[in-house]
Amino acid sequence: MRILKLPPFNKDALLIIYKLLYDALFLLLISFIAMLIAEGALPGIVSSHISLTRVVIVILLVLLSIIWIGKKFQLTYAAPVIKKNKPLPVLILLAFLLMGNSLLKFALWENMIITLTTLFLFFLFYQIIFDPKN
Amino acid sequence: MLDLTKEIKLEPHLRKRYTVARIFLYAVFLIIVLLALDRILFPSLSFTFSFSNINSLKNNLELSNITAKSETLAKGLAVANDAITFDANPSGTFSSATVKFTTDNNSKNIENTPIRIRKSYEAFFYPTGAPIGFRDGTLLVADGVYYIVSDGALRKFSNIALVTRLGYSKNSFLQVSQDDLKYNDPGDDINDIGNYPNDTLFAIGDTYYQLKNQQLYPFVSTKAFFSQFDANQAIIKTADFFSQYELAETSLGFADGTLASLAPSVFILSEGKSYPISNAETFIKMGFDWNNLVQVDSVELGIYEKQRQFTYNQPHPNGTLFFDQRINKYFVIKDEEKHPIESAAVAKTYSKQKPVLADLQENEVGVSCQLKKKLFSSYTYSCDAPLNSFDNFPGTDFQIDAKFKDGAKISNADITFFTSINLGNFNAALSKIKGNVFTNYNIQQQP
Repeated sequence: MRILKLPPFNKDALLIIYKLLYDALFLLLISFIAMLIAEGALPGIVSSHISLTRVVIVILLVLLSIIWIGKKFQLTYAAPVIKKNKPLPVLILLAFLLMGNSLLKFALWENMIITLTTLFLFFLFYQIIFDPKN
Repeated sequence: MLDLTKEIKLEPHLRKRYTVARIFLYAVFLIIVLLALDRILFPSLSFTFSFSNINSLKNNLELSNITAKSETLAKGLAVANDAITFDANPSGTFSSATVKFTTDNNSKNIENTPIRIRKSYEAFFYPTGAPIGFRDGTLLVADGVYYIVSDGALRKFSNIALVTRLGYSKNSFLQVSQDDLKYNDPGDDINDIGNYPNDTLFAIGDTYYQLKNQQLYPFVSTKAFFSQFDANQAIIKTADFFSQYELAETSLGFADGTLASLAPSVFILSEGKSYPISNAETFIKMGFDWNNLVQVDSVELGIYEKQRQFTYNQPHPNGTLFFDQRINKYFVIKDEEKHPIESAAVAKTYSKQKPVLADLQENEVGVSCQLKKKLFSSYTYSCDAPLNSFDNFPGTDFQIDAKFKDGAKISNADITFFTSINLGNFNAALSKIKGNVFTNYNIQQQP
């Protein structure tokens, strides 16, 4: 990433806001994940009191703001290289548990088959989308 | 601190500003998290009633007073000085409530209309009816004159010899005063030695029966009989008595208002219907006592028509006995009225039932506020009332009265209850979450 050209107006403030928006996005995503986990474990516990749609809208607004300010600063990023890292197994396990939890009404073996098949399909999509040849 | 934008280097003076702003951001985030937790653990509960769509499923505020059922009020037309009454049954203890009325464009101004909120049980808010008398089948003696309560009326035995010849034991008659008898209407005298009056009780073998319209109705069990009467009230007969009166096909059950338990469920039994109590929370909130449960079997419960789940949003059914400790008086719920028991002798016959404790004086204690026009809204009026004084009042029902001095054309009524932040409500919220987890994951709760 490199700064190519700074806009003529109050660049200091914008730079701080840009960094703060990243912090805000991080906090919002952590909260949203926590809400989804709680909602998955006990449907209605969050959504009956807090609108998840509004949270998503706020996340999108923060993202758009980051993009907008990024364009002002003409910030460019290299394409992300997604590789195997430490959190990946945790995320897969979490996805497995959430999917399994949402299928509790099914018999255990049906639940396992559907969950594992879904994860396998996600893995294939991942391979196709992030294949370096593409 | 975690830096998510390491690539962007700041000048030292900007770094300081960023650190301060970042601390502020995290503080705001923490406050938002606390507010969200407050909303989840101590939720505000809203109730609404739309007069433009009175049958809407969203109407969870109950328009309850009799006059409100008139056609005009159902359309939102409140006549001048006519009280309009709503019932709401929120769960929890509340710090305050906001009452809001929205009027139609052509309505009169309802600013300064007094609003009164009271708390008790919905059934205990019923209007007071005529004092209740002795139960059908009760045997009474006053000043040497013998009576039986039959079809609600007090019927006098024309002479003492007749009492003996019909097989009654004089000892089974309850000694009362003339004053106690005034709560049952007088009926015809009993002269016929060949016929027993309606509601006479018999014991044939191990089964108890009650005579109704020339048929003997068996009690489903001795337990059911003893929930209303004593053994000595029944005349002992042999099986050949069935040649005189035919056996009815239906059975009689327990006293109305009896709490029956057939594991793992608890039911209220009333007028041939059984109301399964939705959960332990409802049982406690409705003022019932676990010690008053009568263990029944499937045969005993089988004679009752099962109703939908009984929740604390519903009033206590007919036959429920209330007791006001302050004035030492019982009340029986019957057909949307609470009937006082004015006589100690009558009360004694109801003593087999355990009452729900309530307080008539607290019924009349209310908190008030006056409607004020809301800012930026021409047709919405609201007011706030503190509810802390109700914390220890028994009951689940909040009754809201509004009397519009000049009448009004109401389109919507809303009330929001705000939950107090206290340990009791915190425990209740956690208990509710635990209950939901158990229900969601089909885990059996230990009693």
